[in-house]
Amino acid sequence: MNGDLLHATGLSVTFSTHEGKVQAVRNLDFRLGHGETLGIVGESGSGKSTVALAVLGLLANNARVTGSVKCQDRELVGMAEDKLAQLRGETIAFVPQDPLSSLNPAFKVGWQVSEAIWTRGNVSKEVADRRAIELLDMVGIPEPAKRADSYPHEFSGGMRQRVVIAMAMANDPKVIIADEPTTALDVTIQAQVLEALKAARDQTQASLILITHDLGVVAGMADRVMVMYAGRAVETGPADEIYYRSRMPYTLGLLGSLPRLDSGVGGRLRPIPGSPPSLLNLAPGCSFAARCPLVIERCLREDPELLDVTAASHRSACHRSAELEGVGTELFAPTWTDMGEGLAGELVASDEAEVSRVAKANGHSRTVIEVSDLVKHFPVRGGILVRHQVGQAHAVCGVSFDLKEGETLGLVGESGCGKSTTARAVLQLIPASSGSVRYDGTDLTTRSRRQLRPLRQEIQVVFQDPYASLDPRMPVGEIVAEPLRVHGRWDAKGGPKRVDELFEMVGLNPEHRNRFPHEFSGGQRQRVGIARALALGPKVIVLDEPVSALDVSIQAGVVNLLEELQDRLGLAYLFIAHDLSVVRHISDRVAVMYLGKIVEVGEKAQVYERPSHPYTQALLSAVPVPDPDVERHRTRILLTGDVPSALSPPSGCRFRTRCWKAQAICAEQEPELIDRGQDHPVACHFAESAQIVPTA
Amino acid sequence: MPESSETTKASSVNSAATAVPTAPPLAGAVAAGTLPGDGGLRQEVAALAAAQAGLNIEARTQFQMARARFLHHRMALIGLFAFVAILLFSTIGPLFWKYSYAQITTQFGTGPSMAHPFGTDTVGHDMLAQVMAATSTSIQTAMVVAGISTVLGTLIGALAGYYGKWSDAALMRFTDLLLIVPALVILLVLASAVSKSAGNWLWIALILAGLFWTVLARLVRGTFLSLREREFIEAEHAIGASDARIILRHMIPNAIGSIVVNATLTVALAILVEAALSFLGLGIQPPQVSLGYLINQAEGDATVLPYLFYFPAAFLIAIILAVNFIGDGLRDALDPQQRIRA
Repeated sequence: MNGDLLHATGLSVTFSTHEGKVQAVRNLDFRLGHGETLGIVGESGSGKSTVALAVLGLLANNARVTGSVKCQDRELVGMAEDKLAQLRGETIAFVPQDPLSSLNPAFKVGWQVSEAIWTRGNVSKEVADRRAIELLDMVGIPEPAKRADSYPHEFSGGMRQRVVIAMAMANDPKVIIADEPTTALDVTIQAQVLEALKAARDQTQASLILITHDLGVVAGMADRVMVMYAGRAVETGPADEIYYRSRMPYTLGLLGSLPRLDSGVGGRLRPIPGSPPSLLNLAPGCSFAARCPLVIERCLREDPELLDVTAASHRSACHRSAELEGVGTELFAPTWTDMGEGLAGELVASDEAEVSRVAKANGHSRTVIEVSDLVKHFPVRGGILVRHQVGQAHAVCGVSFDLKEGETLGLVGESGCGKSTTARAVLQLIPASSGSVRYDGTDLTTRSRRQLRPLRQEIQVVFQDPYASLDPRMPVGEIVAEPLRVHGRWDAKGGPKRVDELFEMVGLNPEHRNRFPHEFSGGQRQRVGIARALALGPKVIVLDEPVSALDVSIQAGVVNLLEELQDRLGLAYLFIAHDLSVVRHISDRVAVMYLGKIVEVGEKAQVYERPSHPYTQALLSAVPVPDPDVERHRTRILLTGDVPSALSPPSGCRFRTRCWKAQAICAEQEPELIDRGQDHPVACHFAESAQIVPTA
Repeated sequence: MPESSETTKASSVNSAATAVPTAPPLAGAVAAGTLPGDGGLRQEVAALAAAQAGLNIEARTQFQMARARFLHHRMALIGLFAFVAILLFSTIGPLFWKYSYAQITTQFGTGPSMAHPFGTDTVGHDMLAQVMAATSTSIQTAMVVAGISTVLGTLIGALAGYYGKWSDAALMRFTDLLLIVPALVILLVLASAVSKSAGNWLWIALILAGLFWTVLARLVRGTFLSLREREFIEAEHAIGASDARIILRHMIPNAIGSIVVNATLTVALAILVEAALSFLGLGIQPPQVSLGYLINQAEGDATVLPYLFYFPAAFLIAIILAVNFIGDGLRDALDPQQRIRA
């Protein structure tokens, strides 16, 4: 108790909404010691962000906080606002999620950081300004003295977040609470920001509470972990205990549903069936009972307490935690249907599927999609009186690739690399500026809209956002039937049968065909989107970040579904994503894009095990792996600077501004995507393969 | 196939000090794939899962949810009730009242009494009959204006918003033209030209409609411009749906909220404008009566015979307020920000 910096007992937060009382946080206990990093992990709706705001007293008026949070013997719950204001920033600092809204757009960045210092009252502005520049340097902002005079809108997302971290550490706080600090950022930028966070922690010797849904990020940063589900802490303990010897089915489920960067082995992921409960009317008993494969009578009646399971201060809230010793993530079955209404179903993918996939890989011969020198520029208009074109955004500059029948080509890259634009150009949803896209030999770019219509039955698409990609005013049965109606393949008898068939194919209950999208969860909506894409029996499906918007445990089910469908129907996928772990799991071949160009392409094993382009290497080294041991022993390649603007890409090799191998030739001559002695095409003058991904 | 790197079984640290009773580990059962299940429990858990998934027993359409929200809005309900009452008063009322609006009685200039609840005017018309007729005329004019202007405005706004670029530019410049010229001036000129012909309330309605559609066109254009970028519209393009199908089946139903609200508010505005016209003597001409006309007539004797003014004015204000409250309620009910379940 004396060594604790923060000590929470029985913390509960209830929101009064006009639908009823939402119990966002229920009876939470946790401790934070000096110099310790606590990772709070949970999916959306688990209450983790609410905990942070409750500690800081930043919740809205309709929130009722009960229980106790002591910061060094000072009670924070119910503290007066002026005392709390003094506490914030000085003792407890906060790094919020969205850097765009947490910086004041009207003031210079340097001014905002120094304001955090001189408002305390004991230093002069000059001293504060100098300290601000020091802090910006510490978090890795290049040329801090010059950049302190910039405004937030002149910074990129990653740099803004680092400014916020500088503000947080300005007054040497004892605790830094970071609420999803890197969720909105690309993976290489995430690595930079996490480094800045580590620097802040080490410089100020503060304790850190890191709140995130990303188990990989926590594995690399946290000493202790607290797993939250439906507002409760369901497991706490040292990081190693949680990751390697978990005693709570939910944690095991989470770990099993993650595709890992370092496991190239096939086999299905293991999703957690169902979805998190609504916090409005929680049923008595364990809130995980409906999704748990170990559920017994007692689980439905009695909410388990958080009790010790081992001597190493590892606690778990499960009635059967003792039986879970030595049990790994195989607790959950590798299903692909949506089990929103029952326990694990019979539809489990078997290893036969793995065999058939390998067989198909050998048999991929026919090219279904051939993209050659695809170019897409977007005109940028400006001018005062007359709007004319002042520049071009070079979104896609000469991209070429093939997609063979039955295979999955993963197209990866960070935001702004042009992968979504490429997808839309392949689908002819936007006209290409030049280049060709051939489907089965037919050039799609020269066809008119009417000529393209019949071809739309062959190439379909699944979009990223499950909320926006379905018409909110149509029942889902109608949404799935829409392609049939548009192409005249709907008749009174066969139509509804086909819809039912499609529902079953994607693992949804056909009886729900009259419900509306808003009544389904994100994962279920995405399944509806997939059913719609399958309606016409296409040969190729373009998937634009199909699982990025879903919770981690739901992602696995949808990924399994996509794999099942590919095996059964022989579909070819163009899979666009930024999550390299998912891409490794599902793809056969992978292409890496940077600023509108493909920099490396090859078989999955080639690109992941022997990446040869510096960007690929940096990308792979930045991806966190949910394994504390692996994370501890990794060396990260940190890229400097930000992605250049697409309006004026660098001459020669576009990556040279951030590349550690850059030489004079890189600025003069653009490297072509050819085989350079590695076993796959690479676009770099100094290509050299290296093993970046840790072997499992 | 095991994926996680499991450590060797931990020594029996857990048995001694914890509060949880020891039980045989499940590791073997899990690895063998033979988890002990409990059949009787399945149904209860299934029901729990279904309840937590929040799937309702019966599907509620957007319309049903909107109706529920509307019924929550107290002022809108009052407005609806009042409007319906006034509507019944003006359409059914004359069937039960002994005087007709054009009938001249022997009493003139008398105040409200049992025989003439609203009094009579200086010529001898029964005011109750007149107010009923005037209300009816005003409302029907306003409904026609709202109806025509909504259809026209939606059509033009939809085309401009959906196709963009040149169609948008052309249609919007035309709209701007009508918006720029002072509407009242146009109205005065046109109204004085047609107000002498028979059936003139329809002419007034058509002229007003011809000017009011512009507001709705702008609104619908804006809604369509933003709807056009939504992913489900992109999905329709990817399926190969025709433009007509997309506009009629997907975009208009999603824009219906703001269209309906605006149509309702147009009713209120039309009543007011028509009253203004009639007040200036350029709207409905006798023997037709409208609320504005009655107020115009009452102006001269307002100090001596105030009831001639109060009753039509009260009804005018009541109708406008009621329609505005209904419009408010509709706007809240049709709010596109659905509560999104994560």
